[in-house]
Amino acid sequence: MLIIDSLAYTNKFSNLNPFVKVLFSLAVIVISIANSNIYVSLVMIALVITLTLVGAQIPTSAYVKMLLAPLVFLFISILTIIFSFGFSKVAVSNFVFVKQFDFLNFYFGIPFGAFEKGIALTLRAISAIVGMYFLILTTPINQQIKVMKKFRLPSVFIELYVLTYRFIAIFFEEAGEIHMAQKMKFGYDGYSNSMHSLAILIKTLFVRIMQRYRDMEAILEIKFFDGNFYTEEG
Amino acid sequence: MENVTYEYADKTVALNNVSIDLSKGRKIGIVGSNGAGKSTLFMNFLGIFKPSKGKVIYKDNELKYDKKSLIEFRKNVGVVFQDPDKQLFFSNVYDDIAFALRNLKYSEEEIKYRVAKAMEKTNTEGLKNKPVHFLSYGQKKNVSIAGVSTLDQSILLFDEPTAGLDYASRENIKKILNGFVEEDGKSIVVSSHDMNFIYETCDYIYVLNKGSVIAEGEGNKIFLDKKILEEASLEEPFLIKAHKYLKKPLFKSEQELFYDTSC
Repeated sequence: MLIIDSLAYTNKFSNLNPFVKVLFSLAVIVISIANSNIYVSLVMIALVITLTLVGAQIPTSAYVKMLLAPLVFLFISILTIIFSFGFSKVAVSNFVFVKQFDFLNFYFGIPFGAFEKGIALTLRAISAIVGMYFLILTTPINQQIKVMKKFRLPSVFIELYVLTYRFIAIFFEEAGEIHMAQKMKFGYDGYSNSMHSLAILIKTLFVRIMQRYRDMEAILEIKFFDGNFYTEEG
Repeated sequence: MENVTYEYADKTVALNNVSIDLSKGRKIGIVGSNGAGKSTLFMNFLGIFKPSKGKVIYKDNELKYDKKSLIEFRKNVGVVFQDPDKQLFFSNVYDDIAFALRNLKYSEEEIKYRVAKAMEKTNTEGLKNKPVHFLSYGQKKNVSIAGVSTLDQSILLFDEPTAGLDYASRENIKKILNGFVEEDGKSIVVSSHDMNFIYETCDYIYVLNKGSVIAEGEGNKIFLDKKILEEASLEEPFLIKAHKYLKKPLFKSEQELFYDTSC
């Protein structure tokens, strides 16, 4: 199963009241979105990360790895916000930094205020991400269901949520297994081998996931699943 | 089950005119090599697959495939699949065992009672609050059996219950299955190619080969017939070998053989 799943069960906050954890994360996410002050964001990020690493004792290396994935995407999209281009001198008149390319009369640079905007946006995104991570790393899925039930979220939503969560785990399991099997047969030695193996991996993964989906469907059916996930209170 | 033929969508015939009567014994064994159609057979028993020809008959009534009849039917017939990883849905042992009960809307006290009983029967009491992924394969198997045994089903199907298990876990499963039959009065159907296990556990045997039943009968009759077993690519159980080639009396379990002082 997924590492976030096992962490959710083993961390120091695992048995804490789920409502507190959910509300805390929600608050963090809402404040991150509403707030545009860089310093507030910084303080909040520091606070949540400390809580996750020191409070809940999530292993730092796993946490960093998990953060890196969205950060790569974030970084790429922030670049496009900070840097801008224009085709005439007028269009780039408010640029703080301009570089002209002779080719096509192309101007490239940073517009006024874009840098600050980019930083604020980055911090905002990061603090929302760490808020979300706090939730999924400290709260096992059955506690999450309990909270969603209490807030009277529609059962269709909860069903989708749980099945998606389960399927992410299945996806990684299968991908990991196929990758390992290919690696053991030298499938990733060299560029062309790698590309070939990757293509097969994607194809096989699709077929296998469909199979796992059917298996899961059968099991849910046998266990009388009716579209609702029932937890202790009913 | 009568004359069931099942074809996969690509026209591969997985079962060919198979008739199996589960009332012939309390512990029915279905043996066959890999790919003989054992798992497909189970899917047909349970109404997950609908036979292309033939029908499944339960208590004199033909099985209907609408939702309501299937639910009623499955309250009487349960299954433990081969791969426990696929069977377990929740990540916490207690919740997983309680899953079917909760879906059937049992009260929380009743669930507590039943889960406790199921855990006792399957030796999983110590695992109650553990996340499923910290369990060993054998423990997961026990948990998935516990999950099925919470319902008072009269027939339980076990698909390869011993596959991939170590000796101790296998003995444990044997004990659990016997408990179901002797203490709870259930009937069990076990599919496997672990011949020693089937020999010691089951009393009536069906031999499946390439989608057809090639033989059926009381355990001893089938197992002593080497021709049938060879045709189905199956091994003779150890105790049968001891009997046939070492001239020992025919025993039902290994203990009897080794504690027998007459020879």
